[in-house]
Amino acid sequence: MKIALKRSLPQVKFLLAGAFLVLHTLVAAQFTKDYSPLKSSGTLPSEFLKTARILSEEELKNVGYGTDRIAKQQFIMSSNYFLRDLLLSGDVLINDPLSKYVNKVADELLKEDPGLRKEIHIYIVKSADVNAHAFDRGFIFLNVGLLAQLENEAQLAYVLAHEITHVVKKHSVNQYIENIRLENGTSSYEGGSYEARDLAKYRFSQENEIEADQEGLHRIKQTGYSIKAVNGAFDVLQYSYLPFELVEFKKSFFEDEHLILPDTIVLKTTSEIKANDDYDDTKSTHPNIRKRRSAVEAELAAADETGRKKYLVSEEEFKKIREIARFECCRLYLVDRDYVNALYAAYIMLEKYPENLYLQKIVAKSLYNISVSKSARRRYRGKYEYNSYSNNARLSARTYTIPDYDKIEGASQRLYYLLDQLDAKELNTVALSYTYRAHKRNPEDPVLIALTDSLFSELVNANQLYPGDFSKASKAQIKALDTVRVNEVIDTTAEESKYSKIKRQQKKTEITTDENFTKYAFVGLLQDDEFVDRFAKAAKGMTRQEEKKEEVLTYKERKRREEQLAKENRYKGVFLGVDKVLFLEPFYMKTKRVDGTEMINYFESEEKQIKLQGIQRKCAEKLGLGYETVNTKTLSSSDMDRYNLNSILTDWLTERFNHGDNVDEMVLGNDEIKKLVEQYGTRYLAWTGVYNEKKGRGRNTYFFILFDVESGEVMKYETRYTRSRDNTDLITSFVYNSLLYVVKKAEE
Amino acid sequence: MRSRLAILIFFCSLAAYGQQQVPGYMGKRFTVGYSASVSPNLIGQVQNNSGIPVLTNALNVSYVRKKNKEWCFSLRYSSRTILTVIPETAGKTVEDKYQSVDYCIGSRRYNKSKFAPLGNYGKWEFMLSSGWVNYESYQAPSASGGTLSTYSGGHMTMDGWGGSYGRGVQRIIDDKFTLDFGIRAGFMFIRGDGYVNQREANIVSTVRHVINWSPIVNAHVGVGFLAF
Repeated sequence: MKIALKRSLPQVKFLLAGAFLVLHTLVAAQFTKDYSPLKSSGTLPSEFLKTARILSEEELKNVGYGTDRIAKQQFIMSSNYFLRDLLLSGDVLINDPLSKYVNKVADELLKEDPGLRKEIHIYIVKSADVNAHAFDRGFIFLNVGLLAQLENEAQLAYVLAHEITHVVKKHSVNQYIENIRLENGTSSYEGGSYEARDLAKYRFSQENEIEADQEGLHRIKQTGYSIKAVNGAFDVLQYSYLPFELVEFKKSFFEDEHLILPDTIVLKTTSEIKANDDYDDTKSTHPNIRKRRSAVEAELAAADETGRKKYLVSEEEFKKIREIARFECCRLYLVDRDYVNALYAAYIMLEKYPENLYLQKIVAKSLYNISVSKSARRRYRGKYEYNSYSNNARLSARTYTIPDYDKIEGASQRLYYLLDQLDAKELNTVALSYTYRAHKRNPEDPVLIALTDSLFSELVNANQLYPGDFSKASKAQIKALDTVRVNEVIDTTAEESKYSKIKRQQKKTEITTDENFTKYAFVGLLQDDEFVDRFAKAAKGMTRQEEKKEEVLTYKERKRREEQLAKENRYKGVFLGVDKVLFLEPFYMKTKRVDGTEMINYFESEEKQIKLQGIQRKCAEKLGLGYETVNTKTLSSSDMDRYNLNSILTDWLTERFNHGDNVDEMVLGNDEIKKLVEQYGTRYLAWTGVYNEKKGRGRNTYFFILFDVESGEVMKYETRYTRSRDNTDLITSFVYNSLLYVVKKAEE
Repeated sequence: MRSRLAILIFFCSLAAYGQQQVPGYMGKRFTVGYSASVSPNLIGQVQNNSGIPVLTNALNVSYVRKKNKEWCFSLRYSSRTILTVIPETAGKTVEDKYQSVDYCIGSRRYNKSKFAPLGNYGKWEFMLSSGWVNYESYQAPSASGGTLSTYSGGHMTMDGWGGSYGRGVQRIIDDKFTLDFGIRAGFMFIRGDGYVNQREANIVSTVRHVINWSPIVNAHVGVGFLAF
């Protein structure tokens, strides 16, 4: 029997290798063409359907008595308020492949402790930050960014074990109570200086982290997971600021046969990766990596690795979910306006999946945004802010600038340098070239069509580059012509004129200088009829204008001009004539003063939020405005569509706010938003909110923002500050007024 | 009276003409209400009742004309007892009742951040007053105990004008009803040239003394409803 087994072992190995290859190919095949962003599915867990008050009341019953009773009550209310806020933020994924896999790892980790397993709820958060956190109630949240960086399943298990320790040891509530003691100078800290108490706060938090590291390791030891892999988890944390892979960036990525970027914009050597693990952590909630490693070092060294594995659930599944996480990260970087990181992440992934449409769009969107930002100064110059009659205000203009390449470490530095070196015209040309080629490969994709249109427009309007500025003949063709002519000159005995010499000289200079690479960028593309037509269409009626010099105005002149503009635009954007609006869940926060400290009035905030929704509905009905809402306060377990919709809109809103006033740069005007517009029959999205504090100059801050989700434009942005209480009648009058201007048509 | 009504109608038309895209409260800009105000009696009152404040009843109509401004029209009625010196009696006094109807037009300006008719406001007001006294006949006794002279009873009217400034708060309850409270201070001048005999001359003098020199200081509470 044994012999038979021995004989068949090579065959088994061969079969296993074959199976692995097949699985690997299947995983790769899944991403070859395209990728769809993650969505939640199934039914909503019961925790998502409870208000913070209900969640808290369950716990408040068990607080008991003692000196820290009030602190514990406050902690319960605050943690449940923020937990509920996070659960319904739209950033948490439910029943998606990542959550399912992570929960399988948790099952493996807590196989021996089913009681504890029942108390632990693990979710994935759509965030590119390399982070994880836990609530004492048993909720553990892992960011997508963390999954994208992990090397193996054992590392994931260790991260989970660390977070589970925080839950089991109730670190959050202990930290909260300790912080209150420290702030009040009570308990053992009585009489201590403010500085000493402040440092003690961080020390306490660091002690908790060390405890979680050590206890986490003990938990890993009880499983079959590799213990040595734990060290790798610390590497993940140490180098978390770097992209998930380090791949040398080649300029050929942007090039084609004719568009050749000059070597001068390629950084010869990149900065070495320093990643100091012994940084000053005195004012950090987490100890530095060196301290964390040393706290478990002895135990790691003594650990018996025999029979332990890096993967207990599935290696293939781990690699698949990591790949998904990396795809997600590309998009999340875009939402965070971290364009170069998004571009680099997509570049890494494109090496594996060169035909993936999603990745090509990430690159195109990133290039577009960087390009637009570079020419933004020109576009916004000479514009003044004004306040119109309807109290319309402007969101702050947030211009994107490429991060300083000096501060970037590793292989991605080359990309930062390259993008930094290209000027607005060059970048626009490169972006258009890349995007147009992507469009030709995927001619039906509306996003690529829209982006190429915008880049053509940008080329003509912002950078004043017209079809005539680009050569139709390649360098080689011109060179050949030049050679012929030079030969002709040499062959003839006639004296070369001064002007032909100049022309020849100019031609040669033109060919040999790298600075003029844009001239030949579209040689290939100008052979394409569609490219020529669309470029001509963008340039139609446009003439080259002399660049205006920026006027230097005195303070008085500037003020006078602003007043003049304000007068002219008094009624601009006052009446919008909108007939239907989709309302996002409103924001409401009430604070109260407890022992001189401003604290959130958790329950009342939640109740007021529900009331504000009612006010919105009432005012909309009164004005005959079509009212739709994405209300997560009244979700039922089968409302997954509404939950996903809220998630899409939250993403959109996050990106919108990241852009400030720069509407041209919105990139998430994607298919899902279009579907949403079709589904609800409106392209207008409104968000309202009230912040009410007990004391202070602006006791009430009310805001109302109306977006056009298709164009990304802010149609109305209104803020009001009052010193009075947030009575229902006052808030009603604010909401009604905001909606009045939304509904009324200009001619009424 | 007709001319006063004409003035009122003129201002109403002006308000309607000046109608703009103003929100009012939930689209309602026209408020009808009642208010009662009390002002202290300080000068020239009946000695025994000098502490009793004067009650004024008013019917109010207001119309939101701009985002935080509204026109206010009021019809006020008040009644107070005055002590009039009887001529030829060496200072002997008699109680008479001075009643008046005031026609008021004013403008309320609410805080900049709020929308009329809601919130804290300041209010300027112009008033036209129409007052009257119905006095009884009186026989002035002579030193010997007989009748020196006889004053017949009668009715006399007095006109006046004035202005006031007040501050207050208006709240809206259940999207329908208004609750208004505040304080006001002002002045009033009574014309007094229409008397026919000394008895009436004394009445005019007393009324002018009471009204002109006692500042209009009052506190008011009002209720109303948002009509349309």
